[in-house]
Amino acid sequence: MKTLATAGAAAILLAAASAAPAQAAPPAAADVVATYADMAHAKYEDSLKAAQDLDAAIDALVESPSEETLAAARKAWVSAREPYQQSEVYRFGNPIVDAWEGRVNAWPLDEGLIDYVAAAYGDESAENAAYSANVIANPTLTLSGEQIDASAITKTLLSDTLHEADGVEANVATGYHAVEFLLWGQDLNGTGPGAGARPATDFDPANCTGGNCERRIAYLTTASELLIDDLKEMVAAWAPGGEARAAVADDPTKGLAMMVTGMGSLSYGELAGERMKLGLMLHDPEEEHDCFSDNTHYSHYFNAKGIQNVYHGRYTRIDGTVVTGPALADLVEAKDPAVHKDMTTRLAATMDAMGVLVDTAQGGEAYDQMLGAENPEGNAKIQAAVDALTAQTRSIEQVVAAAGLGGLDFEGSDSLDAPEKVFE
Amino acid sequence: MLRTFAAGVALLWAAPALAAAPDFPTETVLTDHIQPRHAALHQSADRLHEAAATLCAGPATADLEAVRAAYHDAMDAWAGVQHVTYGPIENFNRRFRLQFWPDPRNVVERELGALLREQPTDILAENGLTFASVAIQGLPMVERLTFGAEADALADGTDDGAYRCRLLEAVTANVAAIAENLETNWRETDDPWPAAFRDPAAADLVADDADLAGIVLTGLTTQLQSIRDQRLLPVMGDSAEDADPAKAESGLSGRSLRGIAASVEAMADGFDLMFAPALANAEPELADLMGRAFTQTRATAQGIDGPLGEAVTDPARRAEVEKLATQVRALQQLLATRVASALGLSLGFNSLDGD
Repeated sequence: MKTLATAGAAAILLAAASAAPAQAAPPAAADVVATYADMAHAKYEDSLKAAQDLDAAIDALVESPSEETLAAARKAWVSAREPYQQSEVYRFGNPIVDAWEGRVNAWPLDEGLIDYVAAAYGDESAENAAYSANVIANPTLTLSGEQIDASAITKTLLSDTLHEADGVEANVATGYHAVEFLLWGQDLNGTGPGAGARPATDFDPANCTGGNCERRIAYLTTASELLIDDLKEMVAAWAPGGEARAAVADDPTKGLAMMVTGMGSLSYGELAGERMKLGLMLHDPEEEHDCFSDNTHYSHYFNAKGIQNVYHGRYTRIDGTVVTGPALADLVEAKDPAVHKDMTTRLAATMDAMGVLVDTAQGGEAYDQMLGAENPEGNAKIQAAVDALTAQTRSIEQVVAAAGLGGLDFEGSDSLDAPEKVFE
Repeated sequence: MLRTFAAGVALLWAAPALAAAPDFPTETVLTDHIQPRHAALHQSADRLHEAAATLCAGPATADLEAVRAAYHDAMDAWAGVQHVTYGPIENFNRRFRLQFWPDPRNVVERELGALLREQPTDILAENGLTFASVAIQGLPMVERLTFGAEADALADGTDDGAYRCRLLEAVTANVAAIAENLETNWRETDDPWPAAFRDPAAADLVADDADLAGIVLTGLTTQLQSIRDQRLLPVMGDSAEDADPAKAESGLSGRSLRGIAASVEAMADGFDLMFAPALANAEPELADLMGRAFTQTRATAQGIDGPLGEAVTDPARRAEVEKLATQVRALQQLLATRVASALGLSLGFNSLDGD
């Protein structure tokens, strides 16, 4: 909408003035930040809607456990990842989102906390006393030397007692990846073909496999309901009057800084580094993001898509409608067309590289096969995406300079009030 | 998670442009700082490989001590270039191949166990490690083989010991090869990075010397963030009871604090060459403050006795470790805000910005 309006105005001015190329006036920071907040609201609303569809599919699985209902629940989980992964660019840069995120998308996890695992997983870990606590099989368990009554699997048990138990981040009891593990089970194929292969009878008390089917059902349905609760919280935070919206709108210049912080941190340290390069360098499928479902290609693709749509101020919702408005791209284009062109090109190049990963996975070679030590071609495809993300980070740094956001100096909660006083 | 977020935001912006942009002696930084320090890394890595070869040719306890001493020297030299986070180190996963750390899942130990069980010989060939998992390629593997509980097996004449020795030779050769490549790249006239330091305005990599200075400054703030967030805080925990000595870097060889001190010293050296002159011009008081900050931080690191893992559980020494963590944070903050602002520099993102 906005683009048309400005173009029209520019054309009128142009007709009156000269044939020189028009430089559109940059949009106001407040308008750019408003688009950013509107897209966040839409992404979390879509994530909530998709999580509710997932919850319904899980209910159908529980109602009538079969390979068909299990497959439908898995499909719903994959669909639920699409809007959520596009929202992750909001996590870095927005403290409110970052503080909340661990409940929803914590990863990687020591899945032996939740349910049965294969012998190769092992019984213990020096870093995590709850490594193989298996709450589904154990109505009472010991955490931090304290006896825990886990006879009733409740939201409180999952979110307050088990999640990050003993202060260990690998104790992930809630969120997408806990649900993923329950729907798929462990992927025992290493860097070979195949994902997790949990049978539907794991959720069938009448023909129970894996033991404790009632408790597994209780865990799955409880975790699914918690995910909905948590997503509702973030929808409200970005709605008009919400605190996350206020945090970027109250000081729009700071809001712009938060936008680019999210784009750069997700591009480089998190996605290129922690989620992609680490697993590639170790050739280790345990470092794969959606390791149970083999949905990693899409998780990465939609992370990158989220970064791109923050820049362009344009998000296509799951129902096909488009949320758009004054964008960071408009602001940068008005201030430095060369930087804008570079940024646009590099974001597109990343999407191309991510598209190769998706095509390869859909062609039958999953992400965990691509990162195997004996697969140089697959390695090169992942490396190409890492390199594209690294290059786009350099462009984001140019955007920072071009957008003229100098002089901002906000530090995090751990910053010192008077660092100079530390040195006498 | 909040912690890393905070650091990411802190590094973003610099101040408005100055009346007169300062000049940065980038060529001097190349010839007097980056090149000699990478030459030192290469030489120490060669000596480490020679010491390993001597040990494995005729096992003797004295030779193991020689390998350990050479390992310490190589680690000191590596600490001396860790703040050079840009350039050739970023190619071919070299940083992680030299030192895969932190390693919260004990991948190095796990992969060593698998190697000893299966005893593959392909990785022992020349360049056989290049494309292997980074966890078995570098200095942490050298440390595990030479300081681990079974280090004496290197000299025990058994099949297991012989394989360990061949692995040690292969890993040290790999470390030496990577160090040689780094030194060569920084000396080559046609490599884009030394070219950028010699003439930033003409370089493809950067717009001008201020752009390059922003990258160098980002290297310093990144390394300081790593010292505090990865090397100190996880080991310290919230209290002496909560401390976790197993999380110390180079814990087997007990050299965490020695490494930190060497790194701070190297950063002070780089700062003096690259930024101190311009800062003395722009803000003399801030230049004095930064001089004191580097000196005092280094003195604190050097003054703490014993391995970090022990120091954090001993009340008297723990207070000094806490002081060190605060000084490192303050130093990072001063660089990222006051120095960047005074010199009109823009900082970039770093690899620690993620989760």
